[in-house]
Amino acid sequence: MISIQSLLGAAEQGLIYSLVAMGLYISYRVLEVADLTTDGSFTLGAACSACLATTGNPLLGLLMAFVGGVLAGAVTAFLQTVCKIQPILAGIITMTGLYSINLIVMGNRQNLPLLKNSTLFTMVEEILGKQMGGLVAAGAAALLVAGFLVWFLSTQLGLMVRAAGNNPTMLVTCAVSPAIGVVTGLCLANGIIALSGGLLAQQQKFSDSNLGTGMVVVGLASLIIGETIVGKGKTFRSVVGILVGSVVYRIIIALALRSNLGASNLKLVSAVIVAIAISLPAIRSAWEVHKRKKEAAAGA
Amino acid sequence: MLDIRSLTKIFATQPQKAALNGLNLQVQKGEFVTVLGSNGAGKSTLFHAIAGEFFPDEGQILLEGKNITFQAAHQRSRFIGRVMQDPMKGTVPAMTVAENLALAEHKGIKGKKLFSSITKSQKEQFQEKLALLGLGMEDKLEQPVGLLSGGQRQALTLLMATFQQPKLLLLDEHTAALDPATAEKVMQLTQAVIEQHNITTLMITHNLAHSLAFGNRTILMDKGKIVMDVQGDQRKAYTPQLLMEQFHQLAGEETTTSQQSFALL
Repeated sequence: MISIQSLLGAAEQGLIYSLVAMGLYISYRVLEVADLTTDGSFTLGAACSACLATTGNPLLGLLMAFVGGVLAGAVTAFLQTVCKIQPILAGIITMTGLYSINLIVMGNRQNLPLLKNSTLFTMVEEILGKQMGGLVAAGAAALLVAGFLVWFLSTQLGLMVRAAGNNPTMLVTCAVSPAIGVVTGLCLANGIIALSGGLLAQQQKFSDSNLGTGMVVVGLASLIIGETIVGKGKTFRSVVGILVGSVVYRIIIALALRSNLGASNLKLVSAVIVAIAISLPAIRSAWEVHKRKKEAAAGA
Repeated sequence: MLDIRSLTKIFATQPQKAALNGLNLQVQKGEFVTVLGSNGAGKSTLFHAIAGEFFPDEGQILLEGKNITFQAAHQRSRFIGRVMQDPMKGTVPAMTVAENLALAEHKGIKGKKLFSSITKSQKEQFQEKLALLGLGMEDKLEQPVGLLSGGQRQALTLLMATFQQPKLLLLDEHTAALDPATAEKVMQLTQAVIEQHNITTLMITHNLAHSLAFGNRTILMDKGKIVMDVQGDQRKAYTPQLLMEQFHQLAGEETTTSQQSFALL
């Protein structure tokens, strides 16, 4: 049904995209806001990384992708905490502004190919061979960020981010402004998401100004698939779920590509997956009530 | 110690009625004041003003001589401890008991080691403190707070509020949402911690008996003002019945009689 080759390809892509889901884990699950900056910061990461790769500095490009994402997150956080703009709108504003900035970063071009440039992936492939190089590079990046996330959310600063999302009142009673948690969380989330964009640009050897469109939905789909398979719980379990979910999502996409769904319908598939997965609890409880009503009617 | 001068607040949603109406209150160091009043008298509004949840329209709040009228709420939390009525408000349900305590251990950002996780010695210290509460929470360090009972959560919040001895402790009907036995237990813990550290305390209660049994001063609020203030020998002569009569007389017709009678039982 699906070749080993395309399975490995899906795993590699899944591991790269898992960083988007990890970023969204911070904003959507920990801070409990749907942060639409994601679409823009992903593309910003791709643009920064591709731009510096063309000058022969792919690793610096990845670093700058992360830094760019952090700055994008800081802008959204500023709009939310200081300007008191609703979280969703704050994200949309930053995302819209980033579209122009991303074009500027890529030298006013819609896309930037990296066909002959050295990237993180070509560097690792030179050592480990074409077959495994890409997978190892993507896996190392994903595990590194996953490990960092598990550690970070257990530190005092990480606890502040978690409290800011779950109960800001408690944070105030601990003499910490909830804004600190929101700023830290959004900066880190978008930094990680931009790093994902940066890695993707170097892996597929091009960056495009529309690369990030719908990335929130893609990330949430991976996150939710992971939670369904591995379950929710402590950070460690959630992060394992994200890694699994991201790879499974890419396999689903690979299968969809092989069927007659066609590449142009992929976003629709992602949107449907997310809509169903997020509404599952509501559907489940409605079903329970329906069943009990029936039983009650039968008993009476 | 706490000096509140002609504090006034009118909310935009109720422009015809001042929530706080030129309120004056002086509290000495070590005093434990119980605060009575019918619903809407302004008790919680007073607490919110002291805690900094909103800024007053007029008047000043001084704590140990320092004007804190316009200080941000989270900055005041460094020296004002709070336990609210809702057991859900004081703790983070998704975090474990140990993680909640770690955030409360040092107030503010400066005291915290931002990039360190909870250490073993911290956990041992938390366990010792939890054991003193006598609610079996010392074995639940790794459990999410969301799984604790309301009483356990309030006791935990009390511990967190007094982890670093606050200059002022605000208790806003902190046992009202608990069953009678648990409420009694949390009240005992409260009494013990206040006496042990001699913490200046304000406590809102609807329980007339409690208002006399605990603390050393009782005030009655009505329409955003303090209408009765008793302490010392005068207070010792009070019975809940006498207090009830005064309550009706001073707090006027707005008093919900059934609720107050219930509190007497």
